[in-house]
Amino acid sequence: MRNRESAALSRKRRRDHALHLEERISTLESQLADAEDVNRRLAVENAALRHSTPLGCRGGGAALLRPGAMSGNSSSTPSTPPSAIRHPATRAVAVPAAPVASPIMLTRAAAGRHSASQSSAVATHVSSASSMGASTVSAPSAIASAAGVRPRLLQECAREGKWLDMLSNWELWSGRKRRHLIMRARKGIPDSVRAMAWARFLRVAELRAAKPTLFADCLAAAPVLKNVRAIELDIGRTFPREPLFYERGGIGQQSLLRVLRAYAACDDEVGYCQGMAFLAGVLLSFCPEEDAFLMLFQLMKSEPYMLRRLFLPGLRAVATQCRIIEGLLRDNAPRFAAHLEAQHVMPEMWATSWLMTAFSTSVPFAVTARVWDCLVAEGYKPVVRVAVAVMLRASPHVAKLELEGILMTMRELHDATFEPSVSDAAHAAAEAAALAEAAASQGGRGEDASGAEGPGASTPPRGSAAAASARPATASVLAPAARRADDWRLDVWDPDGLMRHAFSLRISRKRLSQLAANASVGSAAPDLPG
Amino acid sequence: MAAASSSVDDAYDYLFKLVLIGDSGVGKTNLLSQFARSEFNLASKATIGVEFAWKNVTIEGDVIKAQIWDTAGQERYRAITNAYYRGAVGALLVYDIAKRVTFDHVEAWLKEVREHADSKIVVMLVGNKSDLSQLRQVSTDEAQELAKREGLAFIETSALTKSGVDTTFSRILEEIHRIVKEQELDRGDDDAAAVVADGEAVVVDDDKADAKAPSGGCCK
Repeated sequence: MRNRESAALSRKRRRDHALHLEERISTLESQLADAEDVNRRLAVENAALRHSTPLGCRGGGAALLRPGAMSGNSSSTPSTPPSAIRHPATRAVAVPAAPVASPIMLTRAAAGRHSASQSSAVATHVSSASSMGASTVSAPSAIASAAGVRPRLLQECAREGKWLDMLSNWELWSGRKRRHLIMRARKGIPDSVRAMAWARFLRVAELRAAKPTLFADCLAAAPVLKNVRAIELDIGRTFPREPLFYERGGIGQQSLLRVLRAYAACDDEVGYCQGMAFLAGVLLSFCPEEDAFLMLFQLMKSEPYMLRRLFLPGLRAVATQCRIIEGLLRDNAPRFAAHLEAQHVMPEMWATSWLMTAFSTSVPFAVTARVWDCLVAEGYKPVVRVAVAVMLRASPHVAKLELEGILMTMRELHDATFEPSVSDAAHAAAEAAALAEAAASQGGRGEDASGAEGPGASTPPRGSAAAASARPATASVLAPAARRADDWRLDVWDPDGLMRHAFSLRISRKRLSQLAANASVGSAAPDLPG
Repeated sequence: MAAASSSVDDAYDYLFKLVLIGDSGVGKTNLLSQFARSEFNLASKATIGVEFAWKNVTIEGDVIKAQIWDTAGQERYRAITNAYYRGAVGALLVYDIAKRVTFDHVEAWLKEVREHADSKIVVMLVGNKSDLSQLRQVSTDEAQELAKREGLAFIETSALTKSGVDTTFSRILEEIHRIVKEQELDRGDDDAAAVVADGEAVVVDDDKADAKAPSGGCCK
């Protein structure tokens, strides 16, 4: 703002960007049909996979490996509609305009999260998103208005523009405007620029310039046999439901193996510790192998991250973080914290995997991506914040339970919400079908102005009776009434609500160091920058 | 789901805390999910930290709440998982019959148990993945011998086919139940039961644990 030149530049960039939007949106639409096809097939396959006998249920990899089938994702967009909340793990990664685009990323982009109804949800979501996009240019649709996706897609596009601007002005933004930059990261980095943004935050280019052969050297180094064995054992157990990683010896598993081996070779003290595979897995979902390795290297070994401390023998930093979480729960909800203590429920029992993988496991990927945006922008502190926020959001239910119930609730919170059952899959399929129907019924009226506003906006006069009648049809599919009774679990994982909650917690640096000191292993704790 | 959580308050006569230990990748998590939920997950993730499940079983008319802690197998995690031995009355020491090295580590795990758990803890040696018979690297006889030498119960299971899984848990729970009953008889009162029930105090922080560890009875 203060820099007039840069403001003008950024205005121009945004204008250019808007011009490109139209083009992109029509591409999106043409990809939509393909994406829906793929995802329907996926839904069927996944339902089969999950419910067939454990052996011989593999296959279908080919369908998953369709690059570039779609773009647009809910992970960094606010006010998720019920359908998306229902399946929050939409793991569609936008095909970026970034130079770091890799076949791996495309693989996952096309595939979505490998579980039944999510894939349908992806289809649903993308379908809404792209018709939504279309409505911004010419043809508004009932789906768009019903799902309320349009404002989100627009917002995503606007954010993309802002991020492209920031990325090309990185020195300014990472320097004087750092606070603003962090605020924007907290709102979620658009998928299309995420890999680029992470690389900037993690100073990958600098590392590469300083040590051009780092990855090659580490790969060439003779690995410790014990580490290699442990890594090999975990390769098949890292995101085993993800299309990128589920094929034994497939491209994803090979990359994972190489990245972890290389890291083990360059950090004798840490070597390999369970949990690291998930970190590498997240990075590989967005970046090619070498970039992922360099990012892992930076996350583990550079300030303000220093995640390697979490994995040092003794795992004392994990214990420290658990004491910190306890303290923060006590600060924010003393009675609830007392209940947990009375039940002997300790953060070690429900937060270890989150702490050691920075929310890479057991949460919807949309949440993982959002937490990581903050992690790379700020350091480790957001991870602790989100862990506390999750527990606080679950507290109305957890407060009534005893140890068994609490831990089972946390476990279900981990799994149930995004390992949907067959009925979920059927539900999602019904949703998708209804949406498709609505879309078909809307096909003829491209110029209808009614769809131009989201469902939240009450202003627009409904352009036509048909549009008005189509709306309730789709809306009823997506209405909160259709959600299950225990949907509070899904609300816990609503990325926007969760992140807002996490960052609304008042956590002073002083209090943090106090808590760390009380844990009496303060020196072993990862730094928690404000 | 909600039903499971709400039944937590159900009355029980005894609470037995069990731990699942053994090398990484031997199938502890699936063993537990088969027992607690009749589920086997071929695409299961590595356990980070500790997982938990519980199930009520009835033995000789007594309702037993079995509280089972499933620990991460990697050596480094022992720093965290050690704490779960406290108050445990049973341990399932799992190895993979198709992976020799996991059996070779059994002795080390026993040492671990004896160091951190109560001396009267009931330990059962479990050879998992018995469905992989063509890949077998550890013979039943050999394992049986080790179990005899170390005074452990022994069983082979397949978490995949569920063969032996229920037997494993019911045998160890029955054994613990028998011991507790004997203690009760010896003491002529109900204190022993109370002591076992106290075992639910899982204290992860070592310093606090010393203060809170149940005194007397089945604990050192």
